[in-house]
Amino acid sequence: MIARSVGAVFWFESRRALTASRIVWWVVLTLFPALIVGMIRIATSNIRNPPGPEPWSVFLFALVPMLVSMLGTFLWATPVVSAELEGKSWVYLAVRPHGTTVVLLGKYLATLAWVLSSAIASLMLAAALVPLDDVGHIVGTILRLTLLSCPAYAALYLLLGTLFPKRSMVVAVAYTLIFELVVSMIPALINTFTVQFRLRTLFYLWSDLPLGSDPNAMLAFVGEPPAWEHVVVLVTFTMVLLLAALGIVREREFSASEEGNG
Amino acid sequence: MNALIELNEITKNYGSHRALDRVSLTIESGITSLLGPNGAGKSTLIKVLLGLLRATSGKGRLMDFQLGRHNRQIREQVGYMPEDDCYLSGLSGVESVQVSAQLSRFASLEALRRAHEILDFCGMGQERYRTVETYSTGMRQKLRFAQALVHDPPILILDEPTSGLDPSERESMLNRIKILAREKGKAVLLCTHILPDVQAVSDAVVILANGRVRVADRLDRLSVPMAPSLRVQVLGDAEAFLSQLEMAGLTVRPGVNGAITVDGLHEELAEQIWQVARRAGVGVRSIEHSRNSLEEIFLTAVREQPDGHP
Repeated sequence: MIARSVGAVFWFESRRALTASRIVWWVVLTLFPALIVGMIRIATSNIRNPPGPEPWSVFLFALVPMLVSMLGTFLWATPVVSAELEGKSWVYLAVRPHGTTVVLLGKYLATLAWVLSSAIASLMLAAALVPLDDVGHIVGTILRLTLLSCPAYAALYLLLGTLFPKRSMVVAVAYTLIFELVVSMIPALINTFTVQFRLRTLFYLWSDLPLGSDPNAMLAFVGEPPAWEHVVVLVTFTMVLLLAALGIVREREFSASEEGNG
Repeated sequence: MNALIELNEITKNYGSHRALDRVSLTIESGITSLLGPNGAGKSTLIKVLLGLLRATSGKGRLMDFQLGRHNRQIREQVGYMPEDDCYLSGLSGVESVQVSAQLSRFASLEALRRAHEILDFCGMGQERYRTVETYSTGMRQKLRFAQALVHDPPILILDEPTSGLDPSERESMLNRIKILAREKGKAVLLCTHILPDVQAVSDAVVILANGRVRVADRLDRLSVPMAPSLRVQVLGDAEAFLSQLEMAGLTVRPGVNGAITVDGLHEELAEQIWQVARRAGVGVRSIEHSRNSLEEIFLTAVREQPDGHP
């Protein structure tokens, strides 16, 4: 019964994705990495030492599992509760059996479908423009990272959206800037709690990147092998965030702030 | 009659504000109207019943399910029609109702069949295929009603189901509510400000004011006045007629809408009234047993102080 209800939420969320504004966002996110890769390629076409596999890997990592996944899930997952509260449809959904649980799960799956389709398409388009003979290894690595980053970021933004429904977008931007972009770069215990740190480590471990002239400095920003440990942590992190969001949405009295005149 | 909803000392606080104050109620099958001025606590009470809000203290049950503990089971038994517009943007009317059914356990095809069936009952024609954003107020009301009904719940909670409707649509909506209660055996909790609607369909009335229950009884019992009296309506100078009645030794007082209430119920009273009317030169339009009007009941209840004194 839950699966059926989740399917119904997934269906109407997917229908909503067919509006002009959301299609435009999908197209922009999908084309953006290819546009950047194309510009880099043009800019480096006449230089003596064009970028090798390593820089192209870094570009694709920064553009797809980081930028497209993060921005896409931010746009879709963060306002899941606030959009329904503002549209006054929260009550409509919440008074159904399993109401809030299925709403969150259905919207989470819809977010994954929308962002993953965009991220994978953008990876394929961008990879097609990379001037390397063997781009398959890079694509494989980035694809695996994308498959991990989308669920993790979607769960993270979903949790922020349920914790702060009134200012969800502002809080999510602040969180991303402070934790995912700044704290994740601090070589201390705290950075291990960010999605960014795990993805960066897996990128380093899976793509066999050279450590450069100062390996110790580089190692301060990434974790240690084995890679599977980081995958397990990331998957666990995703599950915990998702369960926390579900717990909050079940227990929280969202309608209290909307008390009308009765 | 069976008590479908039973509340025992339910209190709900929002910070320091007490929205519900030790509400104890028994709601039976049939149509029960929930009345109260703005801020009385009606919406809060409904949300507590639906499990959207947790009571600060007190206990209650809906059928066999404890409030706050069996929310899922309660929501399976209740169809809720909110007052506000609440639709999923981008969907057609029939799709909206279908999604409601799917969220309430039905498979896609069965949900679609039910959606059409219930929209037929609600009198919605081909407009069901249009997106909800294009609907008029009346059509949105019908849609919300259909969404509440589509999973065939035994209990319906309808929040202002007739507000914004034109007279014919309003009558149709009230007829549908009556059919559901009288023919389909559903219990209806009707939350409204429109007293004639309450008078037209309700079996019982609950009046809330300042978060407390002021009146909770069957409408027919509430309508019977404390002391027997007759209600007289005349054509002509009602004030002069009232004075003449007083001079004739009768206990009288002005009532609502120009009517005059004459205390007592003995056999000669009607004859006395006719004689006074002849002397005063007024025509008697009607003489009937007095009933408390809902307006009087409502105003008396909400004016009453919390300690019970008017």
